[in-house]
Amino acid sequence: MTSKRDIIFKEFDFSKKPELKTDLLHTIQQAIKSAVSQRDPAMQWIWQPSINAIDDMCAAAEDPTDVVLIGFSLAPEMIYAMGLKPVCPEGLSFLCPTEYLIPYIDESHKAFIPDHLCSFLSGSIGMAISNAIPKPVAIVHTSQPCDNSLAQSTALADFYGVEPYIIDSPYYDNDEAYDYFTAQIKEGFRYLEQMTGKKLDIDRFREVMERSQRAHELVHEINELKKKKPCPIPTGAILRQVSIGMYGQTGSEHLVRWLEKHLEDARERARKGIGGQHEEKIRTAWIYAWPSFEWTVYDWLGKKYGAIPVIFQASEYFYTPKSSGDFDELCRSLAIRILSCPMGRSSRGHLDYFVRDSAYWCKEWSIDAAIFAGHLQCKANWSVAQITKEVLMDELGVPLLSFVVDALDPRVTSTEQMLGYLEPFLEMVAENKQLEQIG
Amino acid sequence: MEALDRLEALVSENPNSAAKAWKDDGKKILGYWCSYIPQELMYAAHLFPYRIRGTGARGTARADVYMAAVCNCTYPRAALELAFDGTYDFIDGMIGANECDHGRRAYEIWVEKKAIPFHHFLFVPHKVGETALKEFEKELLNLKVHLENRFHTFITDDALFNSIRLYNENRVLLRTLQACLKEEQPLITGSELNTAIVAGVCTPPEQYNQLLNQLLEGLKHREPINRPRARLMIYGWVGDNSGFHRLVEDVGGLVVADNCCYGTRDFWEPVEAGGDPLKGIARSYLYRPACARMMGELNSRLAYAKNMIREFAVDGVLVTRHQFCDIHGSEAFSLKRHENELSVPISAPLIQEYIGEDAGRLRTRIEAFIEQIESN
Repeated sequence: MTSKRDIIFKEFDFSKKPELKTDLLHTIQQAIKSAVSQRDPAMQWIWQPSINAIDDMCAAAEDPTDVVLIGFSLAPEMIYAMGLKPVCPEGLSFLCPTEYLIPYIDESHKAFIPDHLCSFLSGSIGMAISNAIPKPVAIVHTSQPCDNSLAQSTALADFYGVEPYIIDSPYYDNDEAYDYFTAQIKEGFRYLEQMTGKKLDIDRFREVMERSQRAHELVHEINELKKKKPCPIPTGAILRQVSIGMYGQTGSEHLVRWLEKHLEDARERARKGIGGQHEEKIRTAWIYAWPSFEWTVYDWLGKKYGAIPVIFQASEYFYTPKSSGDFDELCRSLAIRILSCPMGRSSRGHLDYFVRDSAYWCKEWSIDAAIFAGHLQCKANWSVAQITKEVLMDELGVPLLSFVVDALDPRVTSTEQMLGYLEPFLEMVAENKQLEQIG
Repeated sequence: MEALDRLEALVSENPNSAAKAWKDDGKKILGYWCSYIPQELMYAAHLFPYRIRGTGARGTARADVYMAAVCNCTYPRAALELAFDGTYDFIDGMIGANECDHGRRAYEIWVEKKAIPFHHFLFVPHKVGETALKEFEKELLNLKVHLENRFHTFITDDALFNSIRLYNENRVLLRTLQACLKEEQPLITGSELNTAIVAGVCTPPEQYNQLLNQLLEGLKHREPINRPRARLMIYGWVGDNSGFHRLVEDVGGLVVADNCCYGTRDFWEPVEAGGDPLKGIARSYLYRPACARMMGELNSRLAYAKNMIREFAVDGVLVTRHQFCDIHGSEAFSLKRHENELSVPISAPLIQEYIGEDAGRLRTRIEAFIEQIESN
């Protein structure tokens, strides 16, 4: 359909229900590879983290003997260190094409999972109870970032009949809190050894942590480059790929290779003084959520307003200390790294984390406009939106747009509705910038 | 019955007569959010622990500015509304906890937006076990020191033991009252007992013990109630008043057991009274019958439910929650899966709001469930 905006948006037809018992993982794999193959060949590398994620999960499903289910804010270093295969169910919800995902969300609701549970998680529960996810030998979960995650782990452990290991996330960020988390990581290794019969190889753990550390260093360097004007990233879509890699693949070699490519590309663009596909006029920070059922919208915002996403909360990793040495140090470093991950950091603790992180990004990355595309089921973050709005305006003069959306489900807020919020806001921001320039 | 009337008044007024009398004596009141925050510790510091509730709120307009109504529970929004309109100005401080995302954020927003003389956040582990217990012990010790410093007092072991004794007496009396519901034709209704339970979170323990004793004495002179159409257990969350229990009674049912906050979980086990009293409090609170917020504890919750069903001859389980409650909401998934094991019918979830309860709809749903039980 060509809208009055002269842009083609996806049309969804949910009346045709796909077969829930199909090989979902390979269906997702095909869909991702097909979508990426239609992109400009010079840009296709950008989507490699999505391809890696689904390839890894398909490989795990083909030989499910060592599959461990993990929560998305746990990160997979522990599982890699044990030579096991991590599968993150909510990662699948994200990778799944919308038209395939929706029936799984509905399936979970039929089984009494509430419709206000985060769709990333209800979708994954729907997949589990439809036998689309391999049965794990172990489940490791954390209590961060929110109640949704806590509820999901209980449901999955019950469904699979697997005793889970819970790593409880503290509220605070201090030495005592890190000690608490570290002790549980050590217990978590013992649990994995018990459940799988495998032994932790300390050398492999060290290598995994070195790669994880390297990934964090690379993201840090890339993020520093994003401060330049124009922002030297090829497209806003790369921000989402960073988050896919950093949530699900830290400790792997392929993530390090991809981030090195990303950094090299960003350096080159910075050296040449160029940004992405569209001229940068408005620098935006997506401080919470990024609706992913329709990617065209971001291109459209770039084309029409020069509105370039510079910050996306889930790809902004705070630099963590170096990890080397003995088992204790490695576990402590991993604890700090997990507790510092986006969402984990901002949702489990005091609301100040969300507010101050948002203000920090807006200030340091010279943001013109902040956007809170509030994922409907995210109670912890929706309770911070107004305070963040007040702080950004009072301290920095940065306006914040907040609106309700389900990041995965267009039945809550459609692309058209979303643009109905975004367009007048960006027009106002553009007008204000012009007035500022006039003086 | 006079004792019941007095308990009802304590529950339905905010601030209630006990709080006003306490303040008139020049003493301090501490608000607290979650049942995992030990009343014993506050009371040992000569503070009246008064649970933060939404009692008296008619709407949530001011709270909704900060807590989006599209996804946040009305219960903490109602409490926050009362903070903004000044109802809670009588408290001298407040203790929050990571009970759930809604309650945690309501506490934080309150502290952020409204001056309050003392506030403390108690981290309550989301799991049971020795590592978590050590962490909780540390947390309680931090709270103790903070209370001592702020309120210029010293919380002695003797004061803690005395406090534990008083609150354990509450628990024994409540269990005695709860046992009345084992009878086919009990002397007390589920809604009356629930009122008595809720009063415990907003009444000083000595006064509360007196009232519970008076209630037990009064019951001896009472006629048993009619045999109910169905003996029901409530599982989940019904809030801090007896409205839901009364709806059940309106259609001839009787709530005889529960697995709820403001319910049996809070008094089922006594707090350890030997050894180090603070460690005893930590262990007893962490290991008590688990709220749905506790991860990895589904089996213990199911075992608790099974025990309740057997002990109180339950005919069916009403699964309830407030809208937007994920932790209780998702528990319905598991309860349904374990219906055979629990050996009684489990209802589909009944969803409520704290304010503007849709009584007609709920009554119809409850009646339909009772009819389902009767037809089996």
